[in-house]
Amino acid sequence: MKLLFILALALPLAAQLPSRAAIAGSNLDEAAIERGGALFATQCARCHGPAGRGTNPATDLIRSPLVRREETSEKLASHPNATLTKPQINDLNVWLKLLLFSVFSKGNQDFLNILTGDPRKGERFFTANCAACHSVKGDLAGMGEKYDPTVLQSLWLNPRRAKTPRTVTVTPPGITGTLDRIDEFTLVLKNPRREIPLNDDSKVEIKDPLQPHYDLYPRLTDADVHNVTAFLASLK
Amino acid sequence: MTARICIAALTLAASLLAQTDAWPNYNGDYSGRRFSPLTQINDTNVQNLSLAWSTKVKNGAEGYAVRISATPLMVDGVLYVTSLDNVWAIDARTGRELWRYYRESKGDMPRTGNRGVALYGKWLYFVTLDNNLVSLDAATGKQRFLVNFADPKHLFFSTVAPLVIRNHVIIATGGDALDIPAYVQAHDPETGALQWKWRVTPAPGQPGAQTWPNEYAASHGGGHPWITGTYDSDLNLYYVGTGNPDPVGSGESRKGDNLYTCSIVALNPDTGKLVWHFQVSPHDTHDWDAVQTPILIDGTINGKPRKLLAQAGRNGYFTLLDRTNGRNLLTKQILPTLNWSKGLNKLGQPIPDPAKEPHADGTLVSPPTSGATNWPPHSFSPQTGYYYVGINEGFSLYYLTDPDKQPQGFAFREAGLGGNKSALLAIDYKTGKPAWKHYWRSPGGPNGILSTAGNLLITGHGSYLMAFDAAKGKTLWHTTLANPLTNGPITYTLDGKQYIIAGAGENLYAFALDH
Repeated sequence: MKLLFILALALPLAAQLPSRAAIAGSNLDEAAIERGGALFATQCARCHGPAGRGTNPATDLIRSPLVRREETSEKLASHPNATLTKPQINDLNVWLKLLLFSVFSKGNQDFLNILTGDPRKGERFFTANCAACHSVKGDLAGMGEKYDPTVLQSLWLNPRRAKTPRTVTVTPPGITGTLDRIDEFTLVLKNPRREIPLNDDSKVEIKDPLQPHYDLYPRLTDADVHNVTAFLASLK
Repeated sequence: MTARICIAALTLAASLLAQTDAWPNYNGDYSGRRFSPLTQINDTNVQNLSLAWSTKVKNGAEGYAVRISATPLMVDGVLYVTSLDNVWAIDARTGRELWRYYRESKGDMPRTGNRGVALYGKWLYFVTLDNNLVSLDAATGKQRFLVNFADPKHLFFSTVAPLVIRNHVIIATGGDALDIPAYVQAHDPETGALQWKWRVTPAPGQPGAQTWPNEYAASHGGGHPWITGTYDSDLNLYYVGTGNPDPVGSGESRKGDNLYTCSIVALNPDTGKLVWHFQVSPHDTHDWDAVQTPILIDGTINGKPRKLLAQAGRNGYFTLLDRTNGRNLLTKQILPTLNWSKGLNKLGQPIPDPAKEPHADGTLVSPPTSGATNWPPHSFSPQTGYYYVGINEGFSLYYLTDPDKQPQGFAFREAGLGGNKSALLAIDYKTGKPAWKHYWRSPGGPNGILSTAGNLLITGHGSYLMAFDAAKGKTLWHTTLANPLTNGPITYTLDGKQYIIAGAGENLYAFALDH
């Protein structure tokens, strides 16, 4: 995509602005983003920095309210060191909005490189803790190709539930079945479908095949997390 | 409504004694306990509680759903409740709308909630998302004045319920997305004019400034105190919890403790001068603000009556202070899964573990950014001596996304994990230890809590509104609402009848005993 080329041009050092997540989430016009980004790289970045954060004495465009005011366009039009046409000003405004959105919009930041672990140590951890249920030649074959490392890291810690039914036993009345849903006062089973009222004295035991994953969290070191991810990412 | 009744309500609210025929401010009184001495509804008859009325509030504009996160006020038979951009007056006997005020907020800020109004004589006060203090005629909803107090172009956005202390309308800024300074401020109730303004982060040369590398970092350090505080009229101190420091999730450009973010502070309400502070999370990098209501407890420690202040924090600790001077009496971990601190220092503050700050490759941390608990009101019952709070036991991966030496805005991103457990927890305030703990059968919450002298605790989980035995933690009553509880429930008597009011999404419910 052309946009990525522009990003590379504009942001040789600060990989964080603007984020790809923000481009996807901002609903701004992509063509205007491309033009605005190219313009920013050639006309503005030298003084205001590749991510618009400013250099002494050029204004920090992110923290300055200037870029969020109606008079922004006038400021740009009368900028002492740049000659800009009206359509160019519009494009730059879009780009500035995007830079800003990348900063203040929670969850619209890009992940950095997360593959820092040692795959050999990850393999040792895997053999000791995971191999009873999982196999690198079976269910995990090709994991490293299927998933982006960030997704992979979340996935092995917190697998999707779709194929893993939970078995539940509720006493009274002493019934075991497959859990559909549970809340404070109702348990719904499927196969056979039954709705069982619950109270404080109801004993509910849920056997969740994913529980061993959750039980890992308190005893995992961050190095364990990164090593296992690196190992799984190496499964091509 | 008569001004006489309102003034009586204000006078009563000035003491720690709760009023029973009104709910005159955000917490019902100045103590923040959300405890009512009413006993008409109690642990022996709560199973007869039934719906008196319910109403669906009507939004002033299309396009987004109303969520009542406000605590209503009830004075002289009228309920005043808000959501973003809306204020409603509702007949407390029938649920019928008496008037509605609507004003659309403009700007790029996120569409969040509003926590409610304050009342002073015949005037109401509320803040708009785009940072205006609005005064309305409580009888008609007609706007009396509108005063802007912060610039939405800086991405300030305001949600706090104002609090009236004598002739001060106390409000605060919100908005921790763009590294802007945070303020608590007081306005004149007659004109809206600014009386004083206290910046959460200190100016150069002031005490606390040394906890920032420079003025630039301090003035971009945030700390927005977006929940209403509490007040001790004997000491004439206003207590409020402050928000997390900015940039969020990276401490790279703000090495130091970052006072007075993530702190409980005591301010003189006449001058805005800081009297004392206690920082519950030095140098936060996890977005765990400390805005949870600082609850005032008149308690006994080692046989001696003490003026205390307690807060169960988003960071997973319960903190007990001497509210005359801010000295720490107790800090206790209430979240079993907590893994971000290396214990407590000699002041009673958690020592953050740098290894558990967000890192580029992901850091496994408990609690998640939403915290061990959050803003939905906690409660303290002097009858049981228990502090009640909803907690979440869970983990998240915290990723640093902005490795710059001068990061800006949100410098991290969270990936939530599974297996979370949620609980309703009763804490013995003297020890910080659990008196009882009710694990919910499904995760969720925390939700707002009310306790009463009828040995009841009222809260919600899922779509249920529930009553618990406050002493033992047993479930006594429940009913199903159209949505999960979204505010702090309140109670009062009207025409000799005790009501419990709960807000859930766009619905407001009134419950009373079935006769």
